[in-house]
Amino acid sequence: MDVAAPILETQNLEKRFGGVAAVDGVNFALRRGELRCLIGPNGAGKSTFFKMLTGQVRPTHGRILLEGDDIVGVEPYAIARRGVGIKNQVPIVMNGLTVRENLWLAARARRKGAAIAAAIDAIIERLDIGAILGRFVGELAHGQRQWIEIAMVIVCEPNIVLLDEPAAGMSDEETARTAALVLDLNKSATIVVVEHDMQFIRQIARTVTVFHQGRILVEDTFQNVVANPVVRDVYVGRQGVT
Amino acid sequence: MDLVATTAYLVIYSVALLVLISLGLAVIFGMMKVINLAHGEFMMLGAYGCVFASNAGAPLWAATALSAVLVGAFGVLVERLIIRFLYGRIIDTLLATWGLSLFLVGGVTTVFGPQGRSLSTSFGNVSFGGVNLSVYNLILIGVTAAVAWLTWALARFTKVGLIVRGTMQEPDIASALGANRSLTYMATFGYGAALAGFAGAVLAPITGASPTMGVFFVAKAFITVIVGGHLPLMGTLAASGLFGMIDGIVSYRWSSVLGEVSVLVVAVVLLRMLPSGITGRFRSGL
Amino acid sequence: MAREFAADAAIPPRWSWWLFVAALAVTLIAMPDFTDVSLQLDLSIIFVLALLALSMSFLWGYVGILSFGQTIFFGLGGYSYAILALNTGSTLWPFAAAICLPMIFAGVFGYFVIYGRINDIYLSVITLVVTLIFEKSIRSTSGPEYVIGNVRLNGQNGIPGVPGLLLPWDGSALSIDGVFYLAGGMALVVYVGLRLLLLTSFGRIIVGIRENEMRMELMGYDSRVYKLTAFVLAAGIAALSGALYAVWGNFVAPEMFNLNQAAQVVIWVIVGGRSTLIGPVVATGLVQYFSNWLGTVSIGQVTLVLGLVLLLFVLVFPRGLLPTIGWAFDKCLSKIAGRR
Repeated sequence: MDVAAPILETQNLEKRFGGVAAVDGVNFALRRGELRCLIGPNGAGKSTFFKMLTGQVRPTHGRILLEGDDIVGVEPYAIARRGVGIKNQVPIVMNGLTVRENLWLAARARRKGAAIAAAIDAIIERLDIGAILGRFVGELAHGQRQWIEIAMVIVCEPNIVLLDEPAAGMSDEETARTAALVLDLNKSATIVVVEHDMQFIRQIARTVTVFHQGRILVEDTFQNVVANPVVRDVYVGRQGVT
Repeated sequence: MDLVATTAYLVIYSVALLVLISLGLAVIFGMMKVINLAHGEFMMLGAYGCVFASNAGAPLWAATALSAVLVGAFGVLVERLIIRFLYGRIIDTLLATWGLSLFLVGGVTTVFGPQGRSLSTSFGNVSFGGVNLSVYNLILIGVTAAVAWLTWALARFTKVGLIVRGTMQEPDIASALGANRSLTYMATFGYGAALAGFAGAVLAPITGASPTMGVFFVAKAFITVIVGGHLPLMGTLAASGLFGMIDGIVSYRWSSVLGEVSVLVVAVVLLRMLPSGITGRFRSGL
Repeated sequence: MAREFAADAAIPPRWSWWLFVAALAVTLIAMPDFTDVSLQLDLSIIFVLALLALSMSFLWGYVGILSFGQTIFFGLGGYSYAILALNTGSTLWPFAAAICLPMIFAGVFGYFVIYGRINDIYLSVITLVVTLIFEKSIRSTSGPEYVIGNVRLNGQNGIPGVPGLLLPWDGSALSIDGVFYLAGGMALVVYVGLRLLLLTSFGRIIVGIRENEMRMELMGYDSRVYKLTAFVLAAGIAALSGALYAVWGNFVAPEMFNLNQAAQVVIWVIVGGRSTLIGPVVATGLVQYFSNWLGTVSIGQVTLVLGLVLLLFVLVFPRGLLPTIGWAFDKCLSKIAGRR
């Protein structure tokens, strides 16, 4: 296994819906152990990009190489078993079931017997969700539902974690906790984060990739990206980048 | 030569028959994403209407037109009383239209009895290229082509058609631009019902009218519409072309039941490759 | 009312439920001593149909698959038993085969539809289409050339003279009491079994798939395997129901495949509610007694009423009769409590 080769790579990745190219020729490379941020205005193609990585959406053109193997056309469950986990922009969780049951299902995916209970106890401790175990997920606030989805992703112990707007709808305190969690998670997994919240990104940022109109505009360190006039133009009218 | 001519005629007839019985269902499916399980019964009502009007003395063309209009009106009534309350609830709409289907079959059986009624016509046969063809079958083919063309023309060239197409593609935007979505759905459902009634009326001289005749036709219509995808005209034509060929040949060579089974098997295989049907990926068009 | 498919259904049932089951078992055992034969026969058919209702409510309530075609396996079960028993003279292994053969068919059919990733609505319509095709096929088998072994399929008229089960120890036929116990026992066993299945990994995963298939896939579950297994299991229960029907009535007919039968199964589950297993069973009993009370009505009128009931429930009582009554009851109670 070549340690220097990217763990995840896309080549000319494209997704068209009718005449519109949501993702338009993206060459993306992710190194093992990296913590990458993906930013860009709404509609720039970030969520669609993520969904192609998990197999939820099928690309129109291009290749996706996961540890060297092309995974285009592979079923989502097979990609998940290879260690890709995603927390979606709109939480995809079992709303009609309790938090406990959601966690059990996450733990059961790769474990049996006593290991399941151990994994559940560990995640309850790590994310401090003991208080809401008996609640139906559908009744939780948006921020809490995201937190549960993140919990479920972590329980599955993926190698690559995709987080689509993990700080959306969260208070400052929750945002700081999430940032800390992401940094902690990075010790054992490669992470890509899509976010709009610049405060959040500042707390975790290493390399930042800027998406615009389905393509990669710029890829650089956080400081350089923030100072880049082209990036500022793209963000004009949106939240100020301070 | 005889065999080729016979087979060609058979295939053309089968395709036309499929288009005839599927078009109404496809229009409703394309617009509202609703599979109207009572479609066969709309056809059945059209057949009864045609038989009664015709036996009362009306010329066939008038009886057919009258049936289509009456069933269309009934369709509007159904939309207002039932379908309208179930928008967005696809499974419930499926169940409700199934309930309606059973209600109509039961109702007609109770009122008119389970025996079929027939219609006498005097069209006879004609000889063409050494093959003996029923004139009425040729009329059916012609009439189906005309109605398909009419539907296309209505959609393509009239203002109403434009509104319908807009609502079909982007209901929210069409509505924001002033199109009355509720009225559009009502009119489209009515038109789809009228097409079904028309199909039943056209078939009446061949099959007669009986309470369960809808059930007989409906399996093929459902499959055609599902495989056709969401564009009512292109989808129906494409799927009818394919299945008309398969069903026509298999039914002729073996049996009608085997024809349906072949169509079903091919449909399942096709749906695996094209999960939204043949025109499922098409964004525009009819 | 206990919501058996509630989110906390993975919790073992309360002691009150076990008491309820025990009471049912005792009633079942004691009943033939206190009731007359005609009531036993009536109840036996209700048990048989309850099994069919259970297969549907499992598939629709647990797994979330609306299949109009459980009657296909019901019919296949009955006809398989009839054909095998009449051909071979024995009855026990034909009974077993009558359950397995439809399951094999369900496996093949289910494989193409489920692994083909056909969407839910299309799947439902396809099950309806297959039901239609089966009914038409069987009805068209009137001629003498339609024979399996030395049993004529007989088309419209069905196959008469289907033997009852022969007891293995002395070769005598199962009595009316025996049929009662068998049908009732099987219904109870399947009911308890399905309820306890919710506690197993398989049951919980199936419910998870019903709740959000995509999330389950994103965690690495191959939902297709689970759905197919559930589909085959439901088919097996429906086939058992069909085989028991043949044993009960000594007769099988194309009506087992027809739309009215399919509609009745759907109605039992809609009336009884999809959120419990026991609801549809109760609804089956209610609907059967109501039909008997109506007396002999024409088939047209039966179809008419079925259609009306379906329409009524979809429009007015979408949650089902029993859950709606339960909900109304709760509301009244809380209003009374509020007034104090």
